[in-house]
Amino acid sequence: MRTVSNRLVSFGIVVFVCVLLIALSLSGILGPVQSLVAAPLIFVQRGVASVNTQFIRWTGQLANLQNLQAENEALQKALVRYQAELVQLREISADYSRIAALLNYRDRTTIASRQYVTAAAIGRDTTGLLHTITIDHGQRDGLAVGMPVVTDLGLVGRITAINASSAQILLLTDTSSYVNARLQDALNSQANGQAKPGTTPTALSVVGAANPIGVANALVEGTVVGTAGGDLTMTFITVGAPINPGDLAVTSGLGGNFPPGLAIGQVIASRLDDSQLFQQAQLRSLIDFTRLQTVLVITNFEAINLSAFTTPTASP
Amino acid sequence: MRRILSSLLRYAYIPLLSFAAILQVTIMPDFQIGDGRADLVLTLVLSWTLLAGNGEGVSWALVAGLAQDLLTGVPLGVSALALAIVAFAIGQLIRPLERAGLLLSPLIVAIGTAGYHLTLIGLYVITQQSVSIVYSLLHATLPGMALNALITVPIIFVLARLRRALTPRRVSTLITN
Repeated sequence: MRTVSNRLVSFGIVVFVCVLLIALSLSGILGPVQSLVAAPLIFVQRGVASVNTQFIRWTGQLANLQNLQAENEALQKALVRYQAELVQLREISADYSRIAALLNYRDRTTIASRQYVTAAAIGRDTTGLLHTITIDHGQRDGLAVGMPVVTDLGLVGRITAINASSAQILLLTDTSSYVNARLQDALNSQANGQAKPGTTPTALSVVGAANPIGVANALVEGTVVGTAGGDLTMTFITVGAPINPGDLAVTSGLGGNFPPGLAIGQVIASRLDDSQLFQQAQLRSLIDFTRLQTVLVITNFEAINLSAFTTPTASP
Repeated sequence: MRRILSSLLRYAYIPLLSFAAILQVTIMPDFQIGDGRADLVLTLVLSWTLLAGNGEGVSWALVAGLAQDLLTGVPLGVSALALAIVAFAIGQLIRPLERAGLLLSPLIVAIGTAGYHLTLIGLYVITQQSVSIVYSLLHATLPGMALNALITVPIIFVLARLRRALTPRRVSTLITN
């Protein structure tokens, strides 16, 4: 009996300690202590993650050996096609810069104006219940909560928690992720030599289309949310707005949480939502969120705090 | 010398569980079915609880859970609390296993996995982490139960050997009249 009561007391103490830690952690008080204690763990974690990444690459290369030649030929053909498009886009970019200079317009939206920190994904959620990853850079590398995270294939998510040497990224596919977006018209993009609707999108076709000076259909705006299954859905699209398979969804910049022009995914299908008041578009991202290895954190974008514009409640 | 070694070995579970948490975060997500993945940390904690009782099981749960929380960025204490609750419950319900009871260990760990995920989901909701409850139970918990049951057998075999090596043998005296 005495042993049972001792065990209950011990368990009670552990529960109390855990609840206290949770409360302190949520209030932010434990941040510096967590960073200090986590540092040796993260050091070892980086080593293990590095070995794991090399092993996955090696086994992947072995598995893909047979397909390498065909993939190489397809990539060379795509390269030739997009080199011609690149020349065209550079001309447009040069004209844009000349006109912007004349108007004294400071452009913060072009890819060239962004600053990045490259980080390796060193961990993922342990249970599969959350859609988050951990990267090996943190506050001491100049990162902060709210910074957008991308790869060369598009938007990954943003930083939601951080300590001195690591950061947690909330992925686009999480159900609590909301990104304001607009669609780039694939039909007009086809006229500019970009991805054709109905074709299987390749990495280069999506990236090539995702530029702020590309053709945007300003009428088609909505919000991209993650679904429970890890897919992406663009919601709150006006009924009647033209949506075509192959249209590219990019960040609109509305809300101030993400810079405009970041590629999110391509439209696969569309339908009316359950309320019949809006359209929904199912999107496919080119990013495999389960296999992220290296990401880029945009460090010179400052998320805008819109709370100053909320209507204050009347005091009694 | 043996006593000193024994004392040191008593706390060897701290680096062991810390390394298990690192493996859980970096390597184990590559072994998954749907959204469910094998949980090395949970299996270690529950297996030790079955072998050594819920007193030591709760200690393991606290250390492993805190290491896991530090590595994943969830509020510190969430995984530790969920692991401790499940370890204590399992320890209260199941007496430390005798050799024949090892056959039941995969089933017990599978049930413990469901309890752990349910507790975690509740704590995530309280701490305002976004979780889709029904989807998670179907696509993460069920496959997780199967995977954890699978890895329990080799883990509990190794832990049983380890415990035998660390625990001094007691000579029982038979009193005859």
